[in-house]
Amino acid sequence: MSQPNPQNHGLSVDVLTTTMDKAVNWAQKNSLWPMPMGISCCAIEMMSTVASRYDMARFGAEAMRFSPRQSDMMIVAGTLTNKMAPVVRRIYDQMLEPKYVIAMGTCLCTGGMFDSYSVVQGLDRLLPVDIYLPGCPPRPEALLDALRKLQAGVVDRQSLRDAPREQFEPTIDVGVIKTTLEPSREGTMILNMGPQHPATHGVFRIELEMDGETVVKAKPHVGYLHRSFEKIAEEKTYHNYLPYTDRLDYLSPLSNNVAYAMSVEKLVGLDIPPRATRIRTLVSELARISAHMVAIGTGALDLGASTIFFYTFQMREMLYDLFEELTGTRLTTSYTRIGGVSRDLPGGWLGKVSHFLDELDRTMDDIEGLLNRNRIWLDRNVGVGVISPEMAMSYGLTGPNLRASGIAFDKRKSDPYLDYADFDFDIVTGTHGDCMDRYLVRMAEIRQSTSIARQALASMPDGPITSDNRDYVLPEKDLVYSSMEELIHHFKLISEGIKPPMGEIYSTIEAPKGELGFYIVSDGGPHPYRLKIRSPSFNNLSITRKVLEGQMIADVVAIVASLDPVMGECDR
Amino acid sequence: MPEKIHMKFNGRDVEAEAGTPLIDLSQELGEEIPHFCYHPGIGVDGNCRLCLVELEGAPKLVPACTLKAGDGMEVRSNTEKVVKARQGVLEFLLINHPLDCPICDKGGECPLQDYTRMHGSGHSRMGDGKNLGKKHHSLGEHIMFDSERCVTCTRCVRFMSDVAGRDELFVRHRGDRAMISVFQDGSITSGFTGNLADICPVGALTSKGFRFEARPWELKKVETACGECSLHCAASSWWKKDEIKRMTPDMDHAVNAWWICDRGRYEYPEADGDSQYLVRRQGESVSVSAAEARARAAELMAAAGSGAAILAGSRATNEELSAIANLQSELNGKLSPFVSLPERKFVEAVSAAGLELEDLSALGDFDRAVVLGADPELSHPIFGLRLAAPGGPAVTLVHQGEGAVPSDFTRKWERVNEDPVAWVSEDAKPGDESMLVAIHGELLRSGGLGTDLIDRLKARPGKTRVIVLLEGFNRRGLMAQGEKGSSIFDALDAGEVNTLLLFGLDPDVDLAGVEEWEEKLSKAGRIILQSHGMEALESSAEVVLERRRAVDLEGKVTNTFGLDRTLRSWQPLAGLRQQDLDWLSAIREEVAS
Repeated sequence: MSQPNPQNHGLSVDVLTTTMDKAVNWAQKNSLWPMPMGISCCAIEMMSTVASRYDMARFGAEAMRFSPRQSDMMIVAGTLTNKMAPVVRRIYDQMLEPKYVIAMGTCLCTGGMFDSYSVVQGLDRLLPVDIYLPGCPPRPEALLDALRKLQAGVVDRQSLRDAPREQFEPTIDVGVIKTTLEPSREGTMILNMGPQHPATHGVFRIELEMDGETVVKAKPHVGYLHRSFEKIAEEKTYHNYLPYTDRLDYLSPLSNNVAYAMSVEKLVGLDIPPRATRIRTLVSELARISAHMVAIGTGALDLGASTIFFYTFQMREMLYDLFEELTGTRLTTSYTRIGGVSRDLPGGWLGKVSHFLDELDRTMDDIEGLLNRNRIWLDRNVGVGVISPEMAMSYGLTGPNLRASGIAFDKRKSDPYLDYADFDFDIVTGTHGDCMDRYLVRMAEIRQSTSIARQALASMPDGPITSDNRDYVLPEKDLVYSSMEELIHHFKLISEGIKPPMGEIYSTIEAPKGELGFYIVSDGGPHPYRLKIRSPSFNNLSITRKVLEGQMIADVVAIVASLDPVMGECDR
Repeated sequence: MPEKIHMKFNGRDVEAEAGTPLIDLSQELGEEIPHFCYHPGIGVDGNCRLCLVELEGAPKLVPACTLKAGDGMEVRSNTEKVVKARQGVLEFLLINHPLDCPICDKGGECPLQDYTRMHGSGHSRMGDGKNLGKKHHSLGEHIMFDSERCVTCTRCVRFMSDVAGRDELFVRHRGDRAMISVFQDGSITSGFTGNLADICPVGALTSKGFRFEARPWELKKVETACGECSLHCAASSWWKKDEIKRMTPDMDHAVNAWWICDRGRYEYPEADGDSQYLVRRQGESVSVSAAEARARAAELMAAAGSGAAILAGSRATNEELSAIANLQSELNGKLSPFVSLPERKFVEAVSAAGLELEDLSALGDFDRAVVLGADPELSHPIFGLRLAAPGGPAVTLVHQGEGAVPSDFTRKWERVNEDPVAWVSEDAKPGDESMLVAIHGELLRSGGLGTDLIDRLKARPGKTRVIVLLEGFNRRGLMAQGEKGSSIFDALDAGEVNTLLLFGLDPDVDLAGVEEWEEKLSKAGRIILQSHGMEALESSAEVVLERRRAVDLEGKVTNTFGLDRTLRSWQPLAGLRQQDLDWLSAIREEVAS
């Protein structure tokens, strides 16, 4: 017998085994099963975390399966509204004990930038939160760090929460989930889909009346992500409002930025320099590529083709690198300024874009090779969810969804803005208006965008990136730090805001999802009197009521995915 | 009536009073001519050159501040030549201006910023380094000076010499090294230094009390009246959430012109903590909510019936005083709820004789002013300031004892070190020169001056006016309530009062003539205390209500020469605190039922 080892707490023998609790904790730590409660923008970064570059599987928590009964780690990602609260609560209640909650993003920590009547000012008013993860949105590295911190907590469960979960009481009125549809005849049943469903791409909800597997009636519900965008605008200066536009269609913040800046410039009658216009054109097309990448990747994922999801997200990661270098951030770019753009192109950036476009071509070939003649893909898409041209027009569809029905309407051609009149590109249209055409139109549009981007790269002019109109345009940041006039103008522009002349304007762009328009009424003050957003997703989703009727339940998934909605801009 | 003239301003036909300063006129017309050195209250200097305009017939641009509206005049402030000159001036001013906006208290309400934004070129052409100067340099108790930010408009220098009557500031050095300085590197001692931060068109002179406290756009401005003396100067309180951050003057020719004194600006008390409402329970004072304290007080008053009485002083609004008068008539109509006012007779006689001065802007009309009592700059500073303004009357200050010759003003006041009552009895100042007689309320309270003085003054051939400088907060409003009944002190002596509400008393003034008032008031047994400076009674009081600051009050007060002034508070606080009026009515209802 050796001497007692003091590190063994006075025991005279080494302890090889441990308590049952510790063994279980250790096992759970390495197999946390996430419940992805993806509500808005943060969910896109959560998807990136799962995709190949960040590969959450390395930490044993990759099985995102939207099924509460197997999950024990809820990652709530996005802005929680009062309307969404009962949904989140119910799913949480259905999860296995012991269960954990990560509040991903500033909205869930404090309500974030959405200090409004419709938004819950922090997830801890609804659920006991274990990890607060601030950021708008947090990067994938941050989410991985949150996961690691949670794992450390799981090993020592006592350290996670101040108060036991059993004692937690929501401090908000949680509300109830209402079903509004009644069976219209005998033998049908009501099926609820969403708002937390992988195929609804966010928090879109449809109530379906089913006869067997056939949809008799579909009733779409929106508003689960109503963040008061338009009302908040009435409290913000025109410059202050720009970051909100990032979060409209959070799959293509750059083109939202461009659309908003253009609308304010139209309101005040401001011309911007050629280099800024060309940069805006370029980033708008890159934004279109990145948005269509999600449409195709998640659409394929919904139909079981998960490879495509990884391919497209790999492309998005390359784009994020470019965006980050250009704007300082991956997702919420806030890149434009009234009168131009915030930063000039970094050295060598155009070359990197060119390299990306070459990579993209190869990936496009891969995706087309995997899908275009794929028997399952064709069966699930061809002839499914047909939208006739008349129907498309009567529901106000725009963007790829409209063009897939054979109508060649594109704001870039019909009402050329930025530099689109200078570039050679085609409007891609479909012939049948089915899911396959919508897929093919998006694929072809990516090719067109690639071509526009290459043309923009080849013809990038030199010169200033912002207008030098000091009434409305922020001076260049370097000068703000070094010269008096510029500092004063910056100070007054930020603290007082610009005061556009009294009047109203409507300005639109061809956003990836269709016609994105800003209608602004100015009363001559520093805040918009009214700001209305015409978001393509809202109109595009309105057709679900019609197009889902008579379809099979499995095709509902394919059709909604092919419409490519994003609830950030739909609910606003 | 001043003569009306017709002139052209920027092509518009304008009718104006002859002699209106052109800059003031341009402001009225909504096309302000930018200016730094000109200030309507300080006058013309013509040094900043920002106000250059084109004047028909003049070969060169003319500073607008030196022009007064005249018939047939044609002025243009928007021509290319003027715009360019203005841009040039601004560019020169900014050459050495430090990049301090982000840390400067003036940021957001800075004329230099506003003019640069409106009239500047927006683009700096300056490549060289800036002159470095003296930063955060203290100029006396209230003012911090930053020489780098200064544009040498000399408003401050001229304010001190021409308005405040003390040549304490001057410009040292010349050209781009010119700097505002205090003689012998001392500090400025005037009682009006806070105004320097207001008039400084840049952030060179900032108020220490407001340093780094808030940005102007975060503040809520409430237009009220100052409560530090009985003049009640027009002033605004600025609130950030529940905290008052600063007081600034509002322009009012009848009282304070553009200024307020440092006392009014800086001496509003901080809000007390939470223990503002106390109730006695089992011999212990317990801190309670406002509603609880009020309810307890109302209960005590109602229970006492005719044994309840009120003694109110000058620290209450007119509305509250009326409510108190009504309540007392309900309780016991024979008793007066108000402290006695020895000066009432005199003030009412002045008013009846039509001798009262009604407007301080008329001070310049007098040839001579006689002040009976201490230097008004100490008791009613703004009156002293306006009396000393250039072009004002010759002043004779009659005072004996402490403060007789208060300080070394440069203003040329005759000082008579005699007993004012004796002096005025001997020397009735006959003659036909116009004369203002200012009389301190203190002299009247002691009863030394009789109404015979008024008869003598009325008999003077020259124009004569009298202003009584009352002490306290709202003695004049109290006076307006009239005489209500017998003194409460007799009733206290007779043991007729068992519950006493002490409302808005200022014992130094209101009870100054009552000897051993603490002892006398204690006879009431139960005391409900809502008064300043009566800590001696606090320990035995049944209920202590919040001692309110003037900045928390809502209602009307009457100033020392009879002007009604409106006090306002920040609404969220006003809602919480200003329930005394409702409470008084509530007690009345309870007693009546």
